[in-house]
Amino acid sequence: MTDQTVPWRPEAASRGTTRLGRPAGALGDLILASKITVPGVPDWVVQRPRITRLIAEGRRCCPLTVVTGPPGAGKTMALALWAATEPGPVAWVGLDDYDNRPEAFWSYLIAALRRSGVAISKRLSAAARGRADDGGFLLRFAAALAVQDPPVTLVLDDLHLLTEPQVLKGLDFVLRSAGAGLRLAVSSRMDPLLPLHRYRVAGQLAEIRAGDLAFNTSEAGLLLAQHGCTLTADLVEALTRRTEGWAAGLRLAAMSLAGHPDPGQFVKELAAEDSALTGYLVEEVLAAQPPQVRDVALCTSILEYVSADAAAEVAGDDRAAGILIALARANAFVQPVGSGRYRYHTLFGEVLRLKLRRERPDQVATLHRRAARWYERNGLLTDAVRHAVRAGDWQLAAEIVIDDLAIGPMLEPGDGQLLAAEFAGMPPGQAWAGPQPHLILAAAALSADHPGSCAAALDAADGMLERVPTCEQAASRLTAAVIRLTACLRAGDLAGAAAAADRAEQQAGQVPGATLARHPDITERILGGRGAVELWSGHLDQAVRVLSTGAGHDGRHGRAGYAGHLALAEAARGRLGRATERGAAALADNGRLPPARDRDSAALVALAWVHLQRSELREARICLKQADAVLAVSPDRLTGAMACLVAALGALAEGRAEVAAQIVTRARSGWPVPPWIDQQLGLVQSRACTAMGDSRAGLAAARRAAFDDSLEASVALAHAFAAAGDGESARRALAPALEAGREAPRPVRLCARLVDARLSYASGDHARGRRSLASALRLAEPEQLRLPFALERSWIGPVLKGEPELAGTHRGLLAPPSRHEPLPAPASASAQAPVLIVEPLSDREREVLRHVSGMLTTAEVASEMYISVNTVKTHLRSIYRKLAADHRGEAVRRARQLQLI
Amino acid sequence: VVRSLIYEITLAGQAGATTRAEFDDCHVTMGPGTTILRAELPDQAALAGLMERITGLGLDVIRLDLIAPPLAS
Repeated sequence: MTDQTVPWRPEAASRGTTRLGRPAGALGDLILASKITVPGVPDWVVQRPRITRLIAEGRRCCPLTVVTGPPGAGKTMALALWAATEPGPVAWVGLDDYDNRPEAFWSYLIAALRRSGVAISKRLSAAARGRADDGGFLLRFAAALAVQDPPVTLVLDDLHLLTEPQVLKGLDFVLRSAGAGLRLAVSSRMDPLLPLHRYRVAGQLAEIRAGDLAFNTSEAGLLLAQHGCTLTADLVEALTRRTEGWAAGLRLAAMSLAGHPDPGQFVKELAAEDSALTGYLVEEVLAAQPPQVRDVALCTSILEYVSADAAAEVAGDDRAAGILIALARANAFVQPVGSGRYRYHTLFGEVLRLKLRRERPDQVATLHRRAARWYERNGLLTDAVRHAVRAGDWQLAAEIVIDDLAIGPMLEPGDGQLLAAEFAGMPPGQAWAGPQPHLILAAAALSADHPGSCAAALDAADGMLERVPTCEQAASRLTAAVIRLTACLRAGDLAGAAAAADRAEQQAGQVPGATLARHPDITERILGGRGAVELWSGHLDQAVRVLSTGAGHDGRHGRAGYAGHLALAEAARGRLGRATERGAAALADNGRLPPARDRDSAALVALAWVHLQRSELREARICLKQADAVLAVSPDRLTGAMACLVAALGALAEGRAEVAAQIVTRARSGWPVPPWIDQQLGLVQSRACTAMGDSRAGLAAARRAAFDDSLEASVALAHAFAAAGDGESARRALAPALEAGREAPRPVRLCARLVDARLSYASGDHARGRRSLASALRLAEPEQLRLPFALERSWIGPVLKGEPELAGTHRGLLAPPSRHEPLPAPASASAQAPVLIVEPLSDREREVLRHVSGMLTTAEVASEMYISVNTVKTHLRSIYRKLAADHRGEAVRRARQLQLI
Repeated sequence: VVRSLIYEITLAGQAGATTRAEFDDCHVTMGPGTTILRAELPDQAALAGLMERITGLGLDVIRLDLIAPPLAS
């Protein structure tokens, strides 16, 4: 067998830093060649033509052939021997637990099919990685297979490992839809969770079961001969009867017999024994080994894969490597899996572990701890954590993650599942020896969106860190600061975020540079957090400076999300073109739209802002709606407030000042609004009050907003004075902005000119009015800032009638806004609730949703609720509308998040 | 020669129409507060598959009986 563990990436698979910090073994888009290669046939294996014929016959007549039997029944070998004789294309996938994730499963299927010569478009394979849950993908996949002539046979080895209903349903769908182009042959320890009886009733199922796989006497004789034992026909028969033709049992027996002084006696004893076969045989095999071999086998049985190096470390014996190689050469149930690694045969390994636990219970934890250390040293984090957990050493497990700065993936919902899952059993409320377990709990709470428990765990960690000298535990300190930074930003606590960013920046200098370099996501998070703090403090230039450094870090951006913040900062300072570029870049991911959870709400709000400033109200509305959907899934106070700001301005542009004022009020309620956002909301509120005819309230709001004497606020104040008819005060307020000239940001200069024009026209100074209006229009041209003019249409309209030249030159800017439907009023940010406030579901709808979440089909829901299918569909439509979902999966997810079901 | 065995699996609670339909390859009867599935199964793999289907639906197995003992060979 050639070494086939060399991984390769399918085309366009790299998703850059989204995969940063992903633990080894989590795969991502990595395709392991060994999984899609027909296993080699070891030389001790006996050819069994009758089994090969059964499979070939099944494949010829039936879409589905299942080979079932217990471990060691010879299922995989049966399929491999058949595959070697099959003239048509065979695509092989050896399944494992990870394949329960649809993207992994479908990617492997496609890779295997490609390898077998089936042409599959790049688009389809890209879709497998992204939206494998969408029905369109399955349909296109089935269509690609349906045209295969001769049909391709897809072999799925160890199908019992697939338990995810979504994946199995998809597989069933593809098999039924691909028709004559696809044959499926599977091996499984239990009847696979496909609707077997339906295939059986339709005569579309070939079954090769344990009874068929059992070795008959002549096959058993051949197997024994391969292992160098020759027995009399009677003894072979006795052995076959005792092992019930079980391949693994026969092999174990053959191995025991090879060194046995009296084979006949052995078989007689075996046949008479009433013990469980496996344990008995493994004992026999082990008994034939010298003590040090037994020792190495027992100690290394806890490892999934055994390399010479790991064996030496875990067994604490330098000779372990040699012993292992000798065992593999002797076929003693140690199988090479390439790259110098070995694996115990499943059954053999299980019995070894059983023996280890029974004979040396005190040693088990020590062995796991050694294994954890070895994996950790070799950068296999998830494996290291798993062994630490099996050792019952949560402190060690947490240290492995925290001290390596590998917390990043655990902070995001979804991404760090594999690592996070290892900690699922961690007992809460313990007196831990170090801060690391608290930090793991904090990260888990953050990704599960439980800010309260997150803060409590962080406080506990910080409390412990205060008691040790500041030069120690740098990684824990850095991790604590990074988690705090992320949590504060999510909760909208700007002061807390700023303090955490300071601490994180300081601590980043204290950890080893090499560790930090291995986890660029930590640096990204700090930088992104700092940029966000600057953005939400209204230091837009500073925010752009910080965030651009980050974006240049590796040319891309992780989910730390600063591309969106960068877009927002650019939008807020009036650079609409750049904001569009940044926003689009943040959203595009290999040219496909990522699922809502992964989308960048800040980028969507930035795009909404751009559209709004250009008076493209319909487009702004669409972006806001998308942003709202994302915010409902991953809440973010600050971005939510910004979305409200855009929505309020949009309402104002539509002439619905009252709605604008309501949105502002809601955006402010229930949390300490950071000053800059409060000011921005105040400016909109001032305009809304003025537009409703309450110029005093407008003035009061503008005064409150102008607390910091910023030019922007002064201009808004001038606007309010002008609207209230107080020209003198307006001019006084306006003066600094007009004098600032180029130092003021362009949108501020534009608004200042516009107020000046209004005042001048009102006082009869048409020449100055024209100059100012012209200059405002010139300032608006490069970025096509149409909104300021749209908002001032009440006086600009009449004025323009006397200024045909200006109106002609800037026709594009002065056109009435595109207006279709009113902008939505996003609900704002009330305490923990997501931004989107959903219309409550009716009891009936809730019931439908509960059934749907239990994987019932529409027809099944109908029969369960004694209503018609159409009524169920009506309910579903209404549910989708209320939850802003496009399909049932999304509806169920959202309903769970909102705790509606 | 495959010897089929008959098993009876007792589940907690009375199964609704949908659940019963899920097991149209078994003989389903209702007991007091229980549902009994009777299935003729060729081997352990089939039994394991059936149990997995049951637990996959979130049903609780409270009893498993072998009804027809294997014929003496």
